[in-house]
Amino acid sequence: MPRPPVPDDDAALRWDEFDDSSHVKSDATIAARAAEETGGVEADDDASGATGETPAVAAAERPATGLRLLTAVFALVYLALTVGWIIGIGLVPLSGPTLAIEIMYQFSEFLAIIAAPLWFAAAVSRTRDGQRAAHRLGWLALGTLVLLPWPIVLGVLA
Amino acid sequence: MTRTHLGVAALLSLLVGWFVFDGVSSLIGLPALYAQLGVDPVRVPWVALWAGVVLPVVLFVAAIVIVRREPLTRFTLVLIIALAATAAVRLSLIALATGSILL
Repeated sequence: MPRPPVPDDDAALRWDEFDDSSHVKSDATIAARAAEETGGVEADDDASGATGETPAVAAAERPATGLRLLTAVFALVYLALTVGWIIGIGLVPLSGPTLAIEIMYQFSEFLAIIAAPLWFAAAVSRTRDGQRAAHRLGWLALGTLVLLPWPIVLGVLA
Repeated sequence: MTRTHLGVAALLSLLVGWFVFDGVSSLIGLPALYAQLGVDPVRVPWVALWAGVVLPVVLFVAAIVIVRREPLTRFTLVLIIALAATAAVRLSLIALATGSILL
């Protein structure tokens, strides 16, 4: 009669259960195991190549810190634009002579309010790969000019 | 551009048509109102009035040209953003043209 395996009290404290179906090997582990299996300097080169290349690729796909900072600044600007339009539509006294025109006026005011967040979301999502930083900043700067809430600006200047 | 792209553009161009209609109404109505009120004709904001007619078409066509090769979802979203920007610019033009701020 075979003996039952000795219970391992420390099993729950380790993450190296290779037989577990949910186990995911990291790049470093894969490289280390490849080095163990093949042995020698050749495997070491592969391991260093694998570990050195992965962060570089990840860094290329991720936007730079400066771009993220500027995007955050633009996010605040666009938030201010949205608030500006919410206040600004109350400063433009528009009323339609008929119900249909009044509905269209209300709808266009709604569109004016959502213009800034939509523009920001589209500009960021179209340049998410971080390769087109100038494009993102250009689109966000253009949107700031186009969507400037002149009713508020005129009110402040008056 | 596929037929679906053209269909979406045609559907949303109805809203552009309304913006143009509104701009033409202002272009005709505001000078008449100024004349009725005895305001000097020199003070009619012709630039803002004409911009209200032309800009909706310019923004919509520019959006179509920029995203004509994009997938349908992104194409539609950008055209809606162009319409939203048109609505915002229209209100700005009205504020600039009339100066009727109630602060």
